[in-house]
Amino acid sequence: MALLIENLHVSVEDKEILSGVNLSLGEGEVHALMGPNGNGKSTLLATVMGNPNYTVTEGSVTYNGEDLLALPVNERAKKGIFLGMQYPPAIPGVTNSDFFRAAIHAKEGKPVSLYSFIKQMDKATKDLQLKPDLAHRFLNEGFSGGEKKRNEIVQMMLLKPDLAMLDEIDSGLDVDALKLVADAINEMRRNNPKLTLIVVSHYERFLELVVPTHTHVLVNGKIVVEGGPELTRRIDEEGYKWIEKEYNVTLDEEETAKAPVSLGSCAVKQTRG
Amino acid sequence: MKRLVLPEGLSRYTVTSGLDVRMVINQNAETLIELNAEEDMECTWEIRVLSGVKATVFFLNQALGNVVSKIRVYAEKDAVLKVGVLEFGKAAHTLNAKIDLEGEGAVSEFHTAALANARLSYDIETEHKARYTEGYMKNYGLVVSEIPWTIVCAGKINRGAKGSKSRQESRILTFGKPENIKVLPILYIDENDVEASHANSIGQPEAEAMYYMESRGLDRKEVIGLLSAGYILPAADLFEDTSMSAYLRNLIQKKVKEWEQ
Repeated sequence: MALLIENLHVSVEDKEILSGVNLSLGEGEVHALMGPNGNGKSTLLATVMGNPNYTVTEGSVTYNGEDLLALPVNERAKKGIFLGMQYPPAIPGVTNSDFFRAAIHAKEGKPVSLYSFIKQMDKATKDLQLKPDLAHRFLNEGFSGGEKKRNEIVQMMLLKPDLAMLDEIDSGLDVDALKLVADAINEMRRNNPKLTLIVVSHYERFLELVVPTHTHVLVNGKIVVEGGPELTRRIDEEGYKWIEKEYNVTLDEEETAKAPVSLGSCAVKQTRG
Repeated sequence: MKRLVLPEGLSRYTVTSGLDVRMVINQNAETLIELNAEEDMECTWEIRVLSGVKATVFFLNQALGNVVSKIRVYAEKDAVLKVGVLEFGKAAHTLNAKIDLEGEGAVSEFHTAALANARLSYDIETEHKARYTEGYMKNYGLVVSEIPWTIVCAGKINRGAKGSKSRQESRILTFGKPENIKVLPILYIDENDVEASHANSIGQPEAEAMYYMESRGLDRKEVIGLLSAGYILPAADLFEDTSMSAYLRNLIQKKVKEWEQ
């Protein structure tokens, strides 16, 4: 088992967000993590990455048999774990190229040659149709929402993780960009069959392009429903209300009826609650 | 007082003891002045940039002793002057600078960057005496531990200097107490048709930025090294001469690496 999460309880400022999450991921699997907003999806990913804002009060997280919770954030990254963030921060003064090269150096334990770096960077920016000046721009500064998300995928391509967690990586992307990102992810999967993914998304369209092998629904800090790709389709068609009835859980009323979701420049898709 | 006429193009000087220099810049020129004294020293620099001339005067402080610098700049009509101060000194530096934009269309940029190892005290003023002048003052730096740094930065636009622009920006990253850093931005404006602004940020590295960079495999020191270089490196771009920019960039990277150790 690549990643094993057992009875995970996590708090922020004494408020419990995760209340006993159990999850196991095998190598090469794609897990979709779904659920209404504010129920702990981002918290779960941030906790696996080691965000210091979250306190683990109980439970364990092991990666390839190693206690992940005992490792600092950067050591988790060096083990091959990557988090594509929902809101990547802008860091003025630090250029993308300096940051990416330093990150590759840290991950691989040796400096990357300039030639090799430029080659990889060129490919990544072309695949994601980002402007060629990306390398020289300050990290995420002045980037549009879509550019930030594509920049996360550029980093994923350069760092070649074995476990990638993508937190709403599709939000802010128009339909064309969504396909570029999905194509890049699928190419990484082909190149590295060990690559395991956890994908948080509200959009069925993204999960049609990066097809999950497993789907989990997180409600009130617990995984209440699990299944395969058919579960993402049902949620897309019916929302989350049915889970309340069938699994005896109480959902926040505001969250159960799915709001109209923007698919960027393509269309607006209305789903029923 | 020594009189120095800068040669055209790039030049370089080393200062190892106190000086009183009057510099006349009558052709496009760039110069690096290295302050390398082992003892305490006081230097006075009077710099006159003649009409239409474009120049860069860059002070690289690597002195072991305390330094007092008095810089007085006069920029004539359409002159463009960049003054850089890069601090790698081991002792205190007291800097008093006054830039007079005397001629219409004169432009100045006064840019300091510091990897502060000892007390820094700056008093910088740009006075706009003619129409359509532009004065920019930038202070960027990294402060290790509890070292005090004071910056008084004033932009003064006189009556009649219409169409002038005065901008100042100070950004200090500190690993000590932020209260050790004092920045006082001042704007004196006596004309209506002008633009003026100031921006300051003083503080410790943002936790969110640290976490983001650590999540890509960098340890805390490596993150701080990258952030620090980001604050200081832009000073190297004051030179148009690419070999000098590269020299300064390498030096900055080296100093930041030394600090990381």
